[in-house]
Amino acid sequence: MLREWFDIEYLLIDDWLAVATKGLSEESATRVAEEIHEHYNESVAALIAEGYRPGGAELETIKRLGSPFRARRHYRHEYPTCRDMKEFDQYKTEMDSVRELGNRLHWRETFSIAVILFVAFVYFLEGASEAPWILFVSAYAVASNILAARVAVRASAGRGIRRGYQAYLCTTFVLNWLMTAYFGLVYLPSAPPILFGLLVVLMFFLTLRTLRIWRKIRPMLSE
Amino acid sequence: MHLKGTLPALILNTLAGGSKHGYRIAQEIKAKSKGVLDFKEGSLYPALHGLENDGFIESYREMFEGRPRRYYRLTEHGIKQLEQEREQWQQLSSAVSLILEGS
Repeated sequence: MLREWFDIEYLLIDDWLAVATKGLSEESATRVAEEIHEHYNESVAALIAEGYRPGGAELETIKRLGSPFRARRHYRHEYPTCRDMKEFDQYKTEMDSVRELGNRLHWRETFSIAVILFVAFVYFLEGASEAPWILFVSAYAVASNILAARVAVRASAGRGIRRGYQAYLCTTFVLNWLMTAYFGLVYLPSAPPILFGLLVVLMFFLTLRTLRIWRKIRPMLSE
Repeated sequence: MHLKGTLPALILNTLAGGSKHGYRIAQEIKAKSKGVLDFKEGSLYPALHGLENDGFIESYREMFEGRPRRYYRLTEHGIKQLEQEREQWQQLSSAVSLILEGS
């Protein structure tokens, strides 16, 4: 904990790696560890050839790597994290269940369910019923997930998982924005302006996150 | 001295001379700038991975003296990007020179 606060120099490369790769997916952490170990060995050998003692060469190498906390920030920006992989796994699960569902439900039926849920959501949200609105927000979320997965299954058919995941993210993104726009138009004119600001900030970060996940996951997917 | 945001362009330029592994890239950047441009070597690999994600470079593993090493090389896309980076840098540096020398 003290090292975390004061960023004290690290004595062992494995110590440095443990901090730098914290939160990365297993695959990413393995790749980072491989490269940093290669780098470490090269650097230590070169420094010893320059006249450093072995212990000094190791310390100098770790010093040149810099702060593991800063490295961690960079790594999380470029490599898939555990959270990213969890979201990707959720996508795969949804794809599988929609494929199974596909045997029983057709595209038009799925779409109709989604539309009905959306209409119900709008109707009840406007106060036509005493039903809790959270129920309909949840229904909308479920319907949008089914729709997104359905679009993804269709997009990936014969064109690869990459195209499927792209379609999934785009559809989820559009549906999320639709719901936000609806909230914004119907409720925010009468709500305090700060709420509108918060909603825009939230959606901005959601957009950034979607783009970042796509950038990180895309190279792992075959065409 | 560390010019923020320039590392990817420096990496692309270093790889224009052929495939290299991470440690070699770091040393070449430092050596070519005669030690003026310094950066923490831990930030090199995320930058390499970012360039790989964008399709500017690609990596492959090869054995060297019985040990596996990951090498990086430029892609066609990366060559074009490097040309663009060079042009942009020349424009920027000449504009800054004009202002500084003018004063």
